[in-house]
Amino acid sequence: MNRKLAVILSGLSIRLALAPFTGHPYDMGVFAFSQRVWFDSGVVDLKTFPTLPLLYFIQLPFYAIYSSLITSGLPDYQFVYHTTLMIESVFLKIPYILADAGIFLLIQRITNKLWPATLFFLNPLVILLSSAWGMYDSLMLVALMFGLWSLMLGDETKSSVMLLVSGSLKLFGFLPYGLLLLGNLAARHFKKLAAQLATGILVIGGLVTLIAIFGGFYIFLVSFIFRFAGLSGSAFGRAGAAGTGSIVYLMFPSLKTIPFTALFVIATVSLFFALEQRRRPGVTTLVKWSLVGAVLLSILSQAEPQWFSWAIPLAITYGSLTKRTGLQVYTYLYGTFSTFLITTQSQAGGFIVLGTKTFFLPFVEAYRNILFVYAATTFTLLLLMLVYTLHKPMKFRYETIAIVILVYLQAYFWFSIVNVPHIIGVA
Amino acid sequence: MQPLYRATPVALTSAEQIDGMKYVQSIEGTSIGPTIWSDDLTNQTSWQLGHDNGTIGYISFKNNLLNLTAYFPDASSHQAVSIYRSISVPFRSNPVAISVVRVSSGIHYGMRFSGIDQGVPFDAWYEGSPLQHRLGQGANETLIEGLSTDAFFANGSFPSQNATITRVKFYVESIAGQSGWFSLILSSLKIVQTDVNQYADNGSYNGLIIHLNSSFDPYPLNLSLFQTYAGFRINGTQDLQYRLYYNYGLEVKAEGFTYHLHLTSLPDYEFAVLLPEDVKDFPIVYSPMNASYISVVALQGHISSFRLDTLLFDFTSQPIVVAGDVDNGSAQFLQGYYFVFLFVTPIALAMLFRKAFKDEQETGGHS
Repeated sequence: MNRKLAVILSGLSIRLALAPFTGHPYDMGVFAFSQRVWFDSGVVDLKTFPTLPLLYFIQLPFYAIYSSLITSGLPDYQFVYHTTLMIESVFLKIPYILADAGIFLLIQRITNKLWPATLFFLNPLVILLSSAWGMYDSLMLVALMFGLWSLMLGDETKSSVMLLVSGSLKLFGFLPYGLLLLGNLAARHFKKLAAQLATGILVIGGLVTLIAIFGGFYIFLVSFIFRFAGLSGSAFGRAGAAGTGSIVYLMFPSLKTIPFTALFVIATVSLFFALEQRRRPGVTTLVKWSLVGAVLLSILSQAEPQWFSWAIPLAITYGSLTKRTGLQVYTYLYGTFSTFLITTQSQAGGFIVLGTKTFFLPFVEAYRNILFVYAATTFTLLLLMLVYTLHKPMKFRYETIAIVILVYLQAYFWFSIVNVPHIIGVA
Repeated sequence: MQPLYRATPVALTSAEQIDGMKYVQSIEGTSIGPTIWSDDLTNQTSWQLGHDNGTIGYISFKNNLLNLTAYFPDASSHQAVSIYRSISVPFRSNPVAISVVRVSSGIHYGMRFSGIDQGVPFDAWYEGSPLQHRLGQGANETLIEGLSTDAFFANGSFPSQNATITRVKFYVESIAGQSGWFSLILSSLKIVQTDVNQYADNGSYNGLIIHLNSSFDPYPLNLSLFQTYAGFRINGTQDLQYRLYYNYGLEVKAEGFTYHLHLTSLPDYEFAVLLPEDVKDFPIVYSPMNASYISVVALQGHISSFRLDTLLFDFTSQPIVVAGDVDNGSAQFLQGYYFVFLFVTPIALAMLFRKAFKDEQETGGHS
């Protein structure tokens, strides 16, 4: 059998085996609700749609197929306590699964190899988000990767449009777009810069107009812009693994009150990008600093667990451009361990499998100060990603696996058994 | 017990969104009224000490501060040291107790009131309340307790209007294995009356009640609440922290996160989501009437202005069930299935493909 087809079929089979029976009860419930109220009663639920509006329109045609199947008599069933029905769940996830496959094909084109692309497509974190959780980060990433590929082919117009589409799905996509503009500014390519800027104004203007039409501009401002900039009014309220960011915030809670941390990260990344771009202009520098930005945002802002996935295709691409095979292989360890942590600590208790919380493995799911262990381990995983990115190219070292396991066990010992957070008064 | 799957045909009523703005009837503002009772924290004789065997406790007074110092020896179970005093506060006029305490980091503590109603003692506190077994922060904390509501939750009914609050108690407690010296410093203790008036801009409110008219109830009978959204402009003191609740009488249907004001240079707009699965306490600002309303409770600081522009109620046929009952065997099978497809299969396949793609590393590419 064609090897590429074998990877695609096996990756899709895994995803389809998970999609009907799993889902994040709240996130899937929100997406299903918005589609249901449109197909049931014609209500456009964009005012309170929890993401940028482009996702809503991507989901519509897929849900239309589902809706017509149901109307023609197809039965559907609720599985355990899930907030979506089984076939409904698959149709909501199909766009993300297709995006995964798209990224696989793009990485294969960029690297001219199947192995790095396989490391992405069979990465447990990527599978978890698109097919089990039901989170749409892969849609943002497929547009981002398409933008990078276009850039490698020399088509800057197509590239900037795709990066803008990526940013219209999740704001992170605007980071590489901003770096692209900055690169052209530094290189004094003013014509290109003007064209890309005009496209950006058009796309962002269109996005804001759409949001304004549906009456949710302030909601958009508060829920997206302020939150991304670390200015959310709910900064103190949204605790838990989602939004904790890293061990930095847990051990030093007062740091949470510092505003603009995300903007600080973006400014720092842009500065270093501009400096390096003068010496080494090109796609490689842009990919590198987008990757560093993704990692730093996960450390220093109100990061959600799904943000960890942003680094994976970027790291694989950067690894290919700079012959950092160690970085490429590391993404697999990073994804696998992140998935373990998310499954057992952030979304623990069978939440994604059963749609409710039932702790079956209390020694890994429900022990004291679990968030500290989660945050310390994810922090280490992100730091190691930075090491593999910024250090000179090296092969993947199997000792890295031991380091991560050791950090997890040490964190378990100090934070849970010895209860250091309690001793120093932060828990 | 929930079966593994249920036939649930998608009908036209699988989801419904109701615009709550159409049902807003009035807004009331509650504010702290006159002080009914207070302690200037200078009278050593009115306070008494209680402590478990082996523990040590001292009370001292200085500069209108009451300082409880407690020692806990190493023990296999929790231990407590408490201080209490008699008071006499009539239960009328919705009394609210406000205290300011500073408790050592790491030790737990709480505040409790009790009283007498027609000769029968009653508690005005309940287990599970956020004012019980709190973790000391090593910094000043303001505790606010609605005595009526806490008495309701403790006893299942409101005490009569002739009831009297007769005792206040503060305690510090150690968990098993926790030992050492800890302190609780009480710097203010008073009971105030709550005044309720029609809301007007530029007030000083500790809470708001947004009443929905009777045509809002009952909401879709065949559906359950999934979430409530509220979009509003709010202003108040710089230290304002607040939370929203959606209630029906004395039942909390959904609760929001805690919010604080944005930086002053930025718009005062906030968008809050209230979730049924996040209900963890009862608002200090409430209405006992059987009708729907939104409570905006200032946990810290005061609200000066409030303008609601969005109120949406989302109902669905499959609500979130936080702690559902699942057959153990089936759940374990599902967990196993999940782990096999999320970890075992992808990792095994990746290892297989690594061998299959070995030639790529040697030849440098394969398209």
